[in-house]
Amino acid sequence: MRNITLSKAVNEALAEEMRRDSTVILMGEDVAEAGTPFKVTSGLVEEFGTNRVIDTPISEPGFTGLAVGAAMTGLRPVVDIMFGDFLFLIMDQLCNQAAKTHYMSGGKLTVPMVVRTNMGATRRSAAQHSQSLHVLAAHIPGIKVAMPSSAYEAKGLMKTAIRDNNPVIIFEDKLMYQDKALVPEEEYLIPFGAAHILREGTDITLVATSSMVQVAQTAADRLDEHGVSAEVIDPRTIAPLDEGTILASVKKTSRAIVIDEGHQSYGVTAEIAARIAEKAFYHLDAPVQRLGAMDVPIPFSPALEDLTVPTPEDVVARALMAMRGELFHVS
Amino acid sequence: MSHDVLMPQLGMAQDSAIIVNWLKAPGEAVAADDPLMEVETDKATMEVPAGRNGFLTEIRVAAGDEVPVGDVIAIISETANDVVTLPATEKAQATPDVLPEPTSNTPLSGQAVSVKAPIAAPQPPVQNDPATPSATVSAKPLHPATKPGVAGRVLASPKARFVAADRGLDLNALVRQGAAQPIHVRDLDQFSASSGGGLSVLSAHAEGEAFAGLLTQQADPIATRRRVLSAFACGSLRMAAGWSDRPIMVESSNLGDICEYLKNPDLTGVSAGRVTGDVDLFEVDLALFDLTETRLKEYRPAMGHMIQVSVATDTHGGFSLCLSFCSDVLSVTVAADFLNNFAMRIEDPIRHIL
Repeated sequence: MRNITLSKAVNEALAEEMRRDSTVILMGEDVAEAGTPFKVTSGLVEEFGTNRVIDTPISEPGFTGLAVGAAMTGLRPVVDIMFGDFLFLIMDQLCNQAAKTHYMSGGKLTVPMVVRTNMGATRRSAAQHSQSLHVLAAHIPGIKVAMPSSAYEAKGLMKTAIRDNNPVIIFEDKLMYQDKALVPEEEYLIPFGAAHILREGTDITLVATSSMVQVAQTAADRLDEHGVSAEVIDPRTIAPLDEGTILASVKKTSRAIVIDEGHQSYGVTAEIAARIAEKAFYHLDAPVQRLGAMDVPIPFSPALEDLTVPTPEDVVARALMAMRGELFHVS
Repeated sequence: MSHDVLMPQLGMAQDSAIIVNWLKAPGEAVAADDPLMEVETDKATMEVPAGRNGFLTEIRVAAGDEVPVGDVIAIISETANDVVTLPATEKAQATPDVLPEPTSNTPLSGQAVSVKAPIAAPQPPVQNDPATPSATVSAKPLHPATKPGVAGRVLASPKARFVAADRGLDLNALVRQGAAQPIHVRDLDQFSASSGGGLSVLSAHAEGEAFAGLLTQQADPIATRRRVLSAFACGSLRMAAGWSDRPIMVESSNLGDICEYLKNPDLTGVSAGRVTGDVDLFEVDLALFDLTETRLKEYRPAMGHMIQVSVATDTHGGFSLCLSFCSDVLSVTVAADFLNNFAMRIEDPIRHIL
């Protein structure tokens, strides 16, 4: 095992898959010479050349459409969208074309394309470079959505994504690129739709995605000091979602908080909370709670921006409320 | 008939609370769900319902006072005649047909505020018969009840509701005992342990002719009857619960001077299983109450985690069997099987002794 950054883990995943399969190509703005603004793809162009690591013009709809066609005709493109906020630019290519081609061609065509992009606030990047928009893709049938929570997940999920015959979009948290985690020397894949239980507990289930897994872990440590045993679950992919692991946990603990950095309204938290309420209702001893990003454009002001994202303190406070049995309903 | 209103325990570690406000005035009709007072604990302020239908006839504690849990703070009577009357500090407006004006918005200052009782004693609202004219109509609470929770429903978590149903607990009863809403599983544990709620009861009848015939041949028919009943109960339980290898300790008593402990009386014979010396009550699996020498009909203990069955004689020379049990000890299927088998053994004793 090696302790490497999330950035390095993604780089390794791309390099390993490009070595393994010559149809894998990488394209996007500044992916070659510059290695992306976060230096994730540095060194790849030197090894694989400019035919396979392609710097594109600043035209997300154009090169994403190109990738969809390339995928339909035999390549396995990895498309780099520099900021997750630019997802709005490629909605037609991703949602109307890539997601539906297999279905509308009667299974004759596949689109083995990976879109890798990012999410996450508190980088002082203002409202158009700080959003977490993964729920937009997760809402569309035909697209798989992976949300790595550490370097280990980032590498394993990227390799699985490249080998998947369906469009996959991976959201990396842009604040976690320098976070290190233990990653095996040998090759490994992480299957989609298999949640990871990071910590077992008996009193409350914390379901958290991406960087919110760290928030949940910190909260669980603090809850431990209050004598509350929290179970932390990382779904790893939100589409497909490992409902079984989450429901089994809630049936054990009777309480749940869902934490995700997307806006709270109509978000990932809402979806997972609803499934728990629907399928584990008679096991619940407290209302299921959602903790998402505040429903506002992400502020540029650091003081304000920090307020919009769920924190360990928020999780602890909500968990203790649930444990005390405080009333949440509005009469 | 009057009933004490006690300061409820609203939290686990709470031993007193402050009456913030009385929401009903003496003489006012109250329904069980009506908020009676506002109570402040160290954690929260909440409305506490009256808990029974009737008339608030006496307030013993003024708003603002701190009261230990369990103290009598008010009296609710079935008729309005019992209102405690002290020299009036407020002008009583009662007329024969009209209840006094409600003073629920006025915090009370004295130990008890008197209101002159209405001359006609209307019935409590729950017994209100729409066919009965005037007096009963006016007996309705003048303010519509503002009920706790949503539409008068006890607030409980889905799991608490499920567990309560499983244990046969009445959530309304828990609220009357002072359980704070919403009720959670933890509250069920606390209240069922303290109140002995949650016992299920099954009863059965067994013909007694064959059993009586058997006893007439015995030197000490009363003692023999009790021991044979213990052996039959033990054997029936062993069969129904599938406890073939498990030792079963039976406490056999007549609710009077006789109480003995028998270990596996069904296997050892009716007197050899007798245990001498101290018995840890937690080891007792089955308690048999022999009421056959009395006119008592049945005995349902208020609580207990063992399986408890009483046997009484009924008017036709047969036996009345009454089984009370906690659903976490015995499922209702096993309990029914047990009692059924017990009755069969009494009806056909020779076969089971052999």
